Amino acid sequence: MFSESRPVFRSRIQFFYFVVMVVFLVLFFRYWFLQVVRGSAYYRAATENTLREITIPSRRGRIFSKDGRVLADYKVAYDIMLDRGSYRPSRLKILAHFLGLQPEELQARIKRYHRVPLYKPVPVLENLSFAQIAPLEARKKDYPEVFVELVPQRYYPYGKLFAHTVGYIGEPTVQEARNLSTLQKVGKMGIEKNYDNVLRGKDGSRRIVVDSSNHFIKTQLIQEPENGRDLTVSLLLPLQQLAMKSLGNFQGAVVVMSPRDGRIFAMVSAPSFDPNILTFRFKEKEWEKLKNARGNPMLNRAIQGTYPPGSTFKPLVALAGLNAGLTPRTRFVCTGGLEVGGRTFLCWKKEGHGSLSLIGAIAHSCNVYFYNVGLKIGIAKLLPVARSFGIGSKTGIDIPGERSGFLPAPEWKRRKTGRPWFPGDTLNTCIGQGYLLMTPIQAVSMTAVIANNGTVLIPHLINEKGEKWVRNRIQLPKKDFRAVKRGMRLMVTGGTGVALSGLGLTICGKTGTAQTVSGADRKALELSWFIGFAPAHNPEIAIAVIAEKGGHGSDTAVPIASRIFQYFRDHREAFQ
Amino acid sequence: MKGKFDFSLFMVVLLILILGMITLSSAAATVKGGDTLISKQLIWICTGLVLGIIAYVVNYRVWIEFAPVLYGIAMVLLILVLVFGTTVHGSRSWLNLGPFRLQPSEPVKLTVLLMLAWLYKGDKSSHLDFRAIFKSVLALGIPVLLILLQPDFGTASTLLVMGAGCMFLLGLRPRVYIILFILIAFVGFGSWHYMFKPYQKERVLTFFNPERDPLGRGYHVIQSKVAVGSGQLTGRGYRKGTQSRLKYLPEPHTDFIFAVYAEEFGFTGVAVALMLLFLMVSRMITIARIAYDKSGMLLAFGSAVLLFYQIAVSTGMIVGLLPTTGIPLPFFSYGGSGIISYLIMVGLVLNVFRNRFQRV
Repeated sequence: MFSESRPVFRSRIQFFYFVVMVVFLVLFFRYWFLQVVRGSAYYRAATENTLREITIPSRRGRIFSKDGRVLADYKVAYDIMLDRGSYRPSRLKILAHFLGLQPEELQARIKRYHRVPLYKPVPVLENLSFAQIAPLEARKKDYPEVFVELVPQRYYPYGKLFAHTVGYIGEPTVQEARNLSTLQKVGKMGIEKNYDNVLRGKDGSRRIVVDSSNHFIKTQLIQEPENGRDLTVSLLLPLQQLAMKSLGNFQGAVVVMSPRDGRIFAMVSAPSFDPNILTFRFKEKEWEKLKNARGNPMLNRAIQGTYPPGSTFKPLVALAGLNAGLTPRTRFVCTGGLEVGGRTFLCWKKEGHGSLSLIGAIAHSCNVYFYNVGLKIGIAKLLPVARSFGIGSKTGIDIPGERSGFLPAPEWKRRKTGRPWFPGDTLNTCIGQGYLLMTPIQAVSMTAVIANNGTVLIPHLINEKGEKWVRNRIQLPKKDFRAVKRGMRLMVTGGTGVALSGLGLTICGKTGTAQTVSGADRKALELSWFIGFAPAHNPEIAIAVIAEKGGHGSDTAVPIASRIFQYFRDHREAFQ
Repeated sequence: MKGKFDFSLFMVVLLILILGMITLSSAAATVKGGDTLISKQLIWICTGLVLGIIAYVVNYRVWIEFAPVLYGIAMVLLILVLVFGTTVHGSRSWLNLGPFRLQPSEPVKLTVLLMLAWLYKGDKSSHLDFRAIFKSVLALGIPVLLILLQPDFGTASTLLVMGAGCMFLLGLRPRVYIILFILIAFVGFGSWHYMFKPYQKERVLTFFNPERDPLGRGYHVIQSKVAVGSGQLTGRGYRKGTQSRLKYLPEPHTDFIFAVYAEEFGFTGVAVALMLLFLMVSRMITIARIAYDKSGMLLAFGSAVLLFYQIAVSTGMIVGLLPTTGIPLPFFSYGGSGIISYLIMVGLVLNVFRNRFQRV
């Protein structure tokens, strides 16, 4: 044997044998490391590699008005989806050109989904029509990383008419997406937001297995989508249209509510916006435009606008007075002003109202009378009644974003300004001025409480009745409410609201003219208010109208209210 | 040590062949025309077995006498392939011979080994002198150059390693090692700058850092690592590997075939396969040790080096231990020219074993 006799060859062979052993050992341990130590991680990677999760979009529930019109619908639209598993960054420019986007824009759109697992395709273009996708479909072989998906796109047929109430949907924020683990759009405002979990269905998913060039192999698992539930709101389309039209070019709000069960028949805030443009995923420009638009159309003035209530607050003050020992026949003399603490507090009628009872004071909206009520009972007797009406706290309406307004108290003033509460502050509060702020929804809610003799209801847009919408019952004698109502009735038949007298309805109401300063230019602004209800006995609707820069209550708010009442008179069955 | 037939090497090779066929039958299913690949491969194996028996029956010393002729034919084929060859994946490596295609670089490995055995059959010294080195460098250099022209980087490197192994066995003096080292450094530097194609450079660079280009060159390594790793301990089951099934592996039936095997049979299967491959190589080394003469020793040793190198590279590359080169795994990868050459090689090594006592 050759190498046996020549040790030098044998040692060379043995050296090689040693190398072979080492290499095989290295291989052995390398495979052991990959397959046993790191195996489960690679297993997961392999699973992600082969699966594409195709969402089967669920249908979001539609929203109907009380009179059966579709306020939030869906229509068929096409999205262009990108499969990032097969997308190569080097294709960015080609793809952007194909989709008609700037490369930076496409890059940004892809980047915003960096938290979404790679096996889930993400939208890069949305809401395309069939005409728009046809050329893309024709050339899809050259662009294997994108595909067209048919999606039900939310659509609001009445545009700006229901923007603040029905709201709109949009892409979830990072936080929302994490909580819901979905790419689905979610409610962002109004009913869409508050009832999101009812309206939003559960997307189904089809897990498809694909190969490395993204060719379909087979469907692996199907989860059927669950569609969302339809909702009916208590809004009436014609009334809503009427309210919007009546407001015209005024900034302001109109709210119509049932004093029996809290349902809202109309809620309009002007100016408004078209919610359809906000449902898009890629809408930054439109957002900017809306945010900077004049009059802040995104603001729902009905629940977010806080205004001094002016004279519309007087019925409540009257109730507090009655509760503190005054009677409907208690009289005060108005000489056009009242001097308190060295300052003269004026009535709106310079020559004075003369001697008035409580009922007459409400009807003629005499300031001096209510100054005297304030002086007589003091702020301490007024505040509990105001609080029981819900002034200064949210009504709890079933759409988000409501503000609580403001009910000033002596402790608050001392804490805030370091100065004591003067009798003048009480006087200002009693005529709905000073620090007092209310939202229109609070105003209509307050009106409803007077109308129904003390039941505080939670105003709501969902078309439901029942005890769950009763917040509390105010323990005041019925005769006090009757007295205040008599005053409000007299206002219509012979006071500041005579324009409402010939409608064939027993309307009770209260006008208001409030002064405020508007935010930026600190310019004095006249707010034209009206609150009221009808019919006087067993009322069916309560309304609040506010028009910014509307002059006196009787100038702008009353005519608007008049048209609402007329509609009510002609379509009473619609309000059942 | 008395038997004439080395049953252990034969059995080991047979088992590897069976494992290889099982894996190929799974991997081929994902390749275009995969079903015909299996039957074709079976025909090649049968042909290889017949040729291997012939190689086994006729004394290896007779074959070595024919080496220059075989070598000449092989070189002609290498030149023909450069002229008339069919290009696949950018390499002009195949000769179209009607019903089948021949890859001359595979039998060239065998003929070069026989040629080296022929060159040193009478050599008595334990170290090569410069003349001898020159002869072997020439015998190696011609086919290596021709193969590099195709260009087939993998096969060329196989030939070089096999030749280097043989020269190591035959003995080189320290100063030759030094000269060789300098030469290799020089050639390496020169070829990096002047000869390597950009894609070859990319391969080397991505080997050192696969994440450099995770969706390009590094993609293959990452995907094959995922394939191997996802096999875990017991594997995903025959024909159930998603990485190969869904075409995440490039060339699953040739260069990346062991990733398919590792994915489907897990570490258990890998351990068995590595053990068998190791047994095959180590058995060939043993045969080299007990061979009767220098040429027999060289044949067995050269075969061991060649198979070892291909095994190490093709199993090492898919787990990221070595750069991706197109080197097939013997007895696993699809390819008629290869399997026939390896079976002939096994026949020759068994021949060396059979004739370990005998003179001509």
